[in-house]
Amino acid sequence: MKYIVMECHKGYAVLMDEESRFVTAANLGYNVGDTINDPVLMSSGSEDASRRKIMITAKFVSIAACLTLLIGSGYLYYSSNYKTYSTVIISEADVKMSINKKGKVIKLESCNQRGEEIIKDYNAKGKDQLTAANEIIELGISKGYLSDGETVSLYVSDGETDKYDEISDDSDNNINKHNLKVSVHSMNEYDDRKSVSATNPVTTDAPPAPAVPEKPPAAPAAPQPAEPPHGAPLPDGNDKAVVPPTAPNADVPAPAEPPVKPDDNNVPPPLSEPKATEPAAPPHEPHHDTEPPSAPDKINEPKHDKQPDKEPIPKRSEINITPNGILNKELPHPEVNIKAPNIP
Amino acid sequence: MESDAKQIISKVYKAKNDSHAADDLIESYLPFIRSEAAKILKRPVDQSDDEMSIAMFAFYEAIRNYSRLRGSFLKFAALQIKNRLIDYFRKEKRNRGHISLDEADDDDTSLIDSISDEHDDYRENEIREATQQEIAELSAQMDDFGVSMSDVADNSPKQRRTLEICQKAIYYARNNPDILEDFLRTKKVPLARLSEGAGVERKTLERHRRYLVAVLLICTNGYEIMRGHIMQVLKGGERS
Repeated sequence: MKYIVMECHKGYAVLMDEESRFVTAANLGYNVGDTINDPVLMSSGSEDASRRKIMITAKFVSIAACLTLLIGSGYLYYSSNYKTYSTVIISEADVKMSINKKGKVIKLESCNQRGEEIIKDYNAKGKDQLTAANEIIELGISKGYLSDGETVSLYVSDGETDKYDEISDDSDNNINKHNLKVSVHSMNEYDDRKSVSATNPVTTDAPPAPAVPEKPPAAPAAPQPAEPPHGAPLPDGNDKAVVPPTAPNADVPAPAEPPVKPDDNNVPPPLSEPKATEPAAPPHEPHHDTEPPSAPDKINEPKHDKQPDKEPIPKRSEINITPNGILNKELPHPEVNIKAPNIP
Repeated sequence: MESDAKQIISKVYKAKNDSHAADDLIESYLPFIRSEAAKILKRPVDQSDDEMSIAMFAFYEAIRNYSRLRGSFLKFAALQIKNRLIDYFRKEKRNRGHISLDEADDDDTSLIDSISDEHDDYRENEIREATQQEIAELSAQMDDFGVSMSDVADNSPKQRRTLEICQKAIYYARNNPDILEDFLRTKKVPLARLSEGAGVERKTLERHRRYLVAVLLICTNGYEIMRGHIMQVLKGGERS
């Protein structure tokens, strides 16, 4: 390429090439009109500046893109693993599980002191919800708050409404070894039940009423129940017969008679000391969607709980509801018919 | 110190757009340029040396490319001088195998004297003088349009595509003498007619208006040597 020197300056010269371009080059002793073959051309400053701007912009854009990716993936990870997607309440154990999208337990909360006792020293984080539910129920059984034959209610939040059957079947398959029945409900039912129980005179967490004065004679075939562990509230809130807490040394967790079957009115569960307040636990509603439990209406149910189709257990109700409506954990001797006095 | 720095920076910014101010600034900093070149070369530098020209050119580049974000201008200029000289040495190193024509033989006659030269120096001088005259006339005419050679160099299209667009417009003007007459008369580039006639974007022509002034003037009468220099390119505008 040949260049004609068009203009000369102190530090540079202007050249015109054969393509009619005008360029700036080093003035290596040129004169105007000279023809040059190999000049030292200037790199375009404006091009450098624009290139620099593009580079800086590209850097910012790439940093912003990386940050967006990080934040997005972080949020996705958080929402999958740490964000509560649904909630499951095991009403019998008074335990509430927060579940993430993957069905793993994020958080375990107790609804009351009983629940707190059940899940004490138990860590369910990261476990599958059904596994955790099973383990909690087993803990409840081992600590005497649950007993065989009971119906365990699982209340599932709306996030998993379509999984009721799946959860129910899975729970059934896994909990059956304890001869427990599982019923799965929507969380709305739990809320309804709670609001109903709120109008129930049964006071939640109120201290139990004084113990029944008379101690009935020993049950015919029922071993004397050992005192429950200190501080351990009596199991109640079971819709079925209340099972006295298992004594540490007891070999048989339950008396010979089937205490969980309220049908056996003649074999009421043995007496035991009243323990911590029985929360006016959300009365266990009859399981509309499951076969009727073997036990009739729960003795803890408020009186206004209507179960027209179920055979009431007046004796149990009478026995177990104190005048103040507080659940009386003490169960009289089966042969003793104690009627709660009416105390205004 | 700060006032000196501010003063230098203000001079630099003035020299960016004014070729005379740039020349003055280079003239005033010649000792600085010489000392920086001497540092790189590790020997004294003479004004006639190519390395000194390269260093001065690098100083001019520093003036054009400097911004306040870059810090001290003199440090920036020193760096530019160093980089340019290094590039120059690398380029010279590639040509090291060549023999200099000025090298003297045993009998003190240089190679250039002993090689027969078929060139007609007289003819070449004549052409050079004619070219200089044309260029002087062109510069004077460009002054009427408010355009300098440095402005044209800054405004000249860098990309091939843009250059071809401008060449199309110039070729159209060459084939329509009334456009050139109108151009000389109004002292304005008829951008609308050129874009419409050549079928190119007017915006591109507007961006390179000063360049078009110089080339359209070359296309008018009186600049045969320069027109001959770029004739092949102007013919190629017809084909593209």
